[in-house]
Amino acid sequence: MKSMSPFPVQIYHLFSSIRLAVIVLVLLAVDLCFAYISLNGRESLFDAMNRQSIWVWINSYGVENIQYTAWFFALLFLLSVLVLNTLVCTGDRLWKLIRRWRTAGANRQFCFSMSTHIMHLSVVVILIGYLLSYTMTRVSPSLTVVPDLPTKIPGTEISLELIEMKLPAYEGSRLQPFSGRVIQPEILLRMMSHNESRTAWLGFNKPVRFLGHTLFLQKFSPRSNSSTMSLSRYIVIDVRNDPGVLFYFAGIIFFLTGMVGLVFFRPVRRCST
Amino acid sequence: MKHGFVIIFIFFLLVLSACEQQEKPAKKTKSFLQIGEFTITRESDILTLARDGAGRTLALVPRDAPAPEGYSPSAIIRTPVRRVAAYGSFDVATLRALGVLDATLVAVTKPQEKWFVDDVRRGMDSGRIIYLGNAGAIDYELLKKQEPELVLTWDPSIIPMLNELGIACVITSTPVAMCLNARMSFVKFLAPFFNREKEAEDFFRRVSDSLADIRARTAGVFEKPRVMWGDMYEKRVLVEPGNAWIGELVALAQSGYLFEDIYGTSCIEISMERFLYSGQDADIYFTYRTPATGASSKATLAKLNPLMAGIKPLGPEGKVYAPLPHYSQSGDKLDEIFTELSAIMHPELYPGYTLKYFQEIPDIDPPISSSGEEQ
Repeated sequence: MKSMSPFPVQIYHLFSSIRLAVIVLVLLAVDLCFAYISLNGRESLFDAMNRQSIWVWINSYGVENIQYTAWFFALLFLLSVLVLNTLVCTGDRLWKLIRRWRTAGANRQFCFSMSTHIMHLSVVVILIGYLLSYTMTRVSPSLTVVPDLPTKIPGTEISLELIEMKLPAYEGSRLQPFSGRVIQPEILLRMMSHNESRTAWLGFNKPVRFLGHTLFLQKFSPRSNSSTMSLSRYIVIDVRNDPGVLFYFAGIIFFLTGMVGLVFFRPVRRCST
Repeated sequence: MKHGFVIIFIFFLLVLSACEQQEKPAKKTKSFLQIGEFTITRESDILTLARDGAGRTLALVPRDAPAPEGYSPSAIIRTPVRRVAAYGSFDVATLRALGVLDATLVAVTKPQEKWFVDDVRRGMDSGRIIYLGNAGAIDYELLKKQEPELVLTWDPSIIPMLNELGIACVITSTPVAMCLNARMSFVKFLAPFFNREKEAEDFFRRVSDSLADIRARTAGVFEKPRVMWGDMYEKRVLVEPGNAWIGELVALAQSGYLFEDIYGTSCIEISMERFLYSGQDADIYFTYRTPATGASSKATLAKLNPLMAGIKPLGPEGKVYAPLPHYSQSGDKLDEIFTELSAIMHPELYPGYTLKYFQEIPDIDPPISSSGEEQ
C-alpha cells in the first residue's frame, strides 16, 4: 500500500466505497428504464446476440443501432464498475476478517460475515460467467434435424438423430386458442460422437447437454396433429458450446452456500427476562 | 467526485439515446447491412457473410476465390449464383426485380397454371423452369436433376436433405413479420448472391420514391380511415400484426391500423373476439381471400362466417377489398402496390385511379347470366 502513488490510492478508495455501490445500483435502475423504452418491439436486435460473439454483435447491430443499444453499453459499463466495486469492497473486508480470524479464531460472527462475502463473490462469479458466455460461446444456430437422416453439428464430430417425437395435443380448457395444438413436445434424440453415444429427451424447457454442447429446442413441426399446414416432421435446434455455464452453476452454489450460512450463523439475540 | 460520475454517466446515456436515426454519411465501404432479421456483412473483397431468416450464416465467395475456412461446404455459396430453385412468390419476384429471373430460376413449387408472371410461364413452357411438386413434399430427384446451386425456401425441413445433395439453402422467411423497411430492402439481401447490388439499389430507390409520394400526398389529411387486414377461417382468425409492413404503410398513409398493438409473425393468430371488436370500428377491410376462395361479395363472406357479418366494413357504409390472384406474385412492383393501397385508403387524393392488384368486392354476388357468366 505504501508504495502506491496517490492516484491508484484514490482509485482504490473510490472502488472500495459503499456509496459507489449505491450510486451504481441507482444508475442501473435508471439505465434499465431507458432499456424498457428502447427495447419496445426491437427484441430481435438483441436476439442476434445469442447467436454470435458479443464483439461481432457490437461491431454490427450494436454500433448500427446505437440509439436503441446505448443502454446496453451503459449496462456493460455499470456492471463492470459493480464487479470492481464488489471485488474491492469484499477483498478489503475479507482481508480484515481473515486478520481477525488469525488472532481471535473462527466464531459465529466470523462465519456470518464470511457468508455475506461468499454471496457477494458468487455474484461476481455469475457475472464472469456471463462475460465468458457472451465472448467465448460458439453457437450453431437453427440446425434442422429430421427423422432417418443424421445431422452433424458444424465444426464438431457430433451427429444428431431424431428417433421419436411425442406431440401430445393440448386438451385443457384454460388456454382455448391452444386447444388441439402441441405446446409441450418431447423429442427423443440420439447424440453420437466417435467415443460416445447416448439418447435423451429434449423439450422447450429441457435442454440436453452432450460433450460440452447444449442443445435447445427452437421449433418443431407439425404443430398440431390435424394441421392443414406443413405435416413434415422436423425440429430446429440451437447448439451452444458455452463455457460460462459452469460459472453460473458454481456461482449459484456459492450463493446458496452463503445464504444458508447467513441463516445458520445469524446473530442470536437473547431476551432478558 | 461521485456527483461528477453521476452527471457524466447520465450525459453519456442521454447523448447516445438521443441520436436520431438520420441518414448517415455514406461510408467508403459499407461493411454491415441489416434488413429486418437478415444481415449482410462484407468481411473482405472475397468474403461476404449473409445471415438468413433462420439465423444461419452463409459465406458468399466469388467463383474464382479460395473457399474460406471454418464453413461447411453447404454454407459456402459461389457468386454470382447461376441456378436457383425458389419456393416463395416473393422470392421469385425479388429475382425479377434484380433482373436475374430469366437467367437463373430453374425450379418452382407452384404448377404453371398458378403462375401469373410471364417470365416464369415462358420458362416453364420452354422446360427451363420445372415444377418440383407441392412445397410440402418436393421431388428431390427432380431437384437434383435441375442442379440448382441455391434453394430459396421457407421450409427448414429440407435443409438436411439439401446438405446431403450439396445444395446451399437460404431461409427467406423470418419468425417476426417483415417491417416496411425489410420488405423494401429484401432485394438488397439477395443482391450479393447475384452481384446485382446496383439493381437492388435502383429498385429500393423506386420504392422509396413511391413512399415519399404517398407521404407528400397524404400529409395534412384530416380524416383517417381505419383499416383491418386479416380473415376469419373455420377454426382460426389470422391478421397482419402492427409490426408487419402493412401496419407501417397504413400509418404512413395517414390512416389507422386497428391491429397496430399486435406484434409477431405475419398472419398471426388472434382471438375471434378481438377481430370482431376491432371490426366494429373499421372503415376498410382487406381480406386474405381472393374472389376464387370465397371473397366474391360481402354477402358471401358473411355467409361463410355469419359472425363476421357484424363488422362495419361488411355493412353498407364499409369497404372490403380482396387481393387479385396475381397480387402475391407482384413483389417486384412494390411501388405500385404501396401506391394502390394509399389510393384505396384515400381515393379523393388519387382521382381516376384504376385498381390493379386489389378489387373492391360488391355487396352481393352479381347475377349469373344464362350463359353461365357473371354479369
